[in-house]
Amino acid sequence: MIDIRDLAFAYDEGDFALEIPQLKIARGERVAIVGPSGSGKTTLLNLIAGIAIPQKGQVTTNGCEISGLNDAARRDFRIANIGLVFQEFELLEYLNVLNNILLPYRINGTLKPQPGVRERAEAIANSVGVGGKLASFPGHLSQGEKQRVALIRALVLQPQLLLTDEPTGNLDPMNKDRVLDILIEYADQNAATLISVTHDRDILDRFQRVIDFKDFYGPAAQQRLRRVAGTT
Amino acid sequence: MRDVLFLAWRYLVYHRFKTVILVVSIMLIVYLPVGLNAVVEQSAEHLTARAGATPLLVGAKGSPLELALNSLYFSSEHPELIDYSEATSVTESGLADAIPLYVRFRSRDNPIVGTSFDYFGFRELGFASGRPMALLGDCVVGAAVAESLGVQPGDAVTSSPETVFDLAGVYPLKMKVTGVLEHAFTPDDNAIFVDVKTAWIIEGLGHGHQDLARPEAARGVLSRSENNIVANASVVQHNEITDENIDTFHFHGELEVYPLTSVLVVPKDEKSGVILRGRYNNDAATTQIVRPVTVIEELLDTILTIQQFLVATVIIVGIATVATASLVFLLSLRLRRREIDTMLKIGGSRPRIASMLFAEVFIVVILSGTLAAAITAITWRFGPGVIERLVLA
Repeated sequence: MIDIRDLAFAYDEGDFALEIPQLKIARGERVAIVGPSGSGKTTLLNLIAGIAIPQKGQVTTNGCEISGLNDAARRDFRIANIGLVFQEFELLEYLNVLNNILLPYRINGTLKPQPGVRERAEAIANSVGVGGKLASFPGHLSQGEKQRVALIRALVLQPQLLLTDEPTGNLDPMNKDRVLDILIEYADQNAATLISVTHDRDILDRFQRVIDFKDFYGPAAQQRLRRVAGTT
Repeated sequence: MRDVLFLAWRYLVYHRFKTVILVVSIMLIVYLPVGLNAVVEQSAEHLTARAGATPLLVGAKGSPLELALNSLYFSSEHPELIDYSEATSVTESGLADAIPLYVRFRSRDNPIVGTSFDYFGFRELGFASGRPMALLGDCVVGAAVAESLGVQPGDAVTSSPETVFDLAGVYPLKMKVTGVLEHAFTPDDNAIFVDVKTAWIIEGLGHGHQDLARPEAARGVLSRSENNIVANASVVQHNEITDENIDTFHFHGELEVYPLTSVLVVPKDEKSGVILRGRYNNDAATTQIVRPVTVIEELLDTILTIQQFLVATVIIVGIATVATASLVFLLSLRLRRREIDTMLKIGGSRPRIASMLFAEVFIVVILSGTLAAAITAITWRFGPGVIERLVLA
């Protein structure tokens, strides 16, 4: 599903650098990525999603070398294959819940809403308990509801790969479990791969594999990263 | 495109206060110069057209503007009065036709214009119904007067006293409407036309009363001589001219010295006009002759200077407003950086997001432009009337 080889990435500013000689994640696998802030966890998600482009190496997702595509092709690939969920939900305050969920269809240009998309969105919303909030605006939702809406926005595209960045970071324990249940249930039912960046060690037992970036931060950690990543 | 417009519209609706402020600001900077220009141009056209159709005016020496405004637009401020003999003198010169004007009294807010039958021909005023005034006490009303008062031939209108404190008695005169003019879209629509003698009766220079020779009037007679009868206030004064009492109406003294506000002079030809103007070019004369178009153009020059100053000011303010609005937009882009990043991450294309931002500006500009156009249209419709009222007030 995901195959990373000889990856090297650095931002234009600052001395941050990420090097991953090899990393493989199988289709349908549930992987948690943990580690200190600034160690490159979110950067890795961005590289897998094609939001960031490595200076060196290859990122292959679902058989497609995403790092070799141009901007428009990466965008189309992302919207067709990948669902993204962010810690801060990133809902647009001026759109109601339903329009936030359908936002990818409105801003992509080439992605046309197929028949039943709206019904699917409503069905998912009902199943996760926000079916009655479709006309509400994000400002009137609780944190848990916002995260569930953000999840629906990712799931409505029926992605094969779910990339979630601190999906439970702003949630209370009850909502945390509920969001994880939704993610895992979707991944299991659709044989989708789930990769979650998290600081929350309480939820790690819900994942099949944990990649810890703690020891792989900075130049001295590259050897260990190579060893751990290469074992997959 | 529909999606882009939808997202832009939702953003603007959600931030409605910001949107309203932007729309109103842009609307004002578009409307103020355009609307002001439109209204001044139209007013100038209206004012100049009527002045241009009036060759010459004779009136008392003093303000030519006051003379022109009273004679052309029947403004409430009337110039110093001249004698009726001025009209006679112009006619007798053989150089021009003279149409007397006595614009002093009002019926409610409508000016009563004392003139002659020739006025209607000169202004090319047609009759919607009825006929011109023929007898003392008859009047012809403009189209707007007929509509506002709901009068038609056979009805009556009454003059208003100049002051309610005038106990000495210029009594209101009830006048019979004999005709209604067609719409001319000029100040004539708002006027009530009477024969100049009827205007003098309104002033009290002519009057009708009980026949003092009859026995029932004897109680009111204080003294009687061969040429003169002195009576007290118990003698009945008529405030309406009817078939029965019209013969009792009379004027005292020489009509030649009765007052006019001006004389509308229509020269036979250009040369006659020049000769006439030369005759009034005399420092010792108590009267003046003016070309209304020159007077009105001088007035418009002043208005245009003020307008140009205003437009220049508005343009400078407009540039500042556009600069501020652009700054607000650019700052809002920085504030919306995260929103834009989110859209890019979940599959939004850069051109589409740029289109959405551009659509927001486009909608604001369209709304402002539409609003400015609507207000300009309203101004176009009602503005000249307001300007004329302000000028004539």
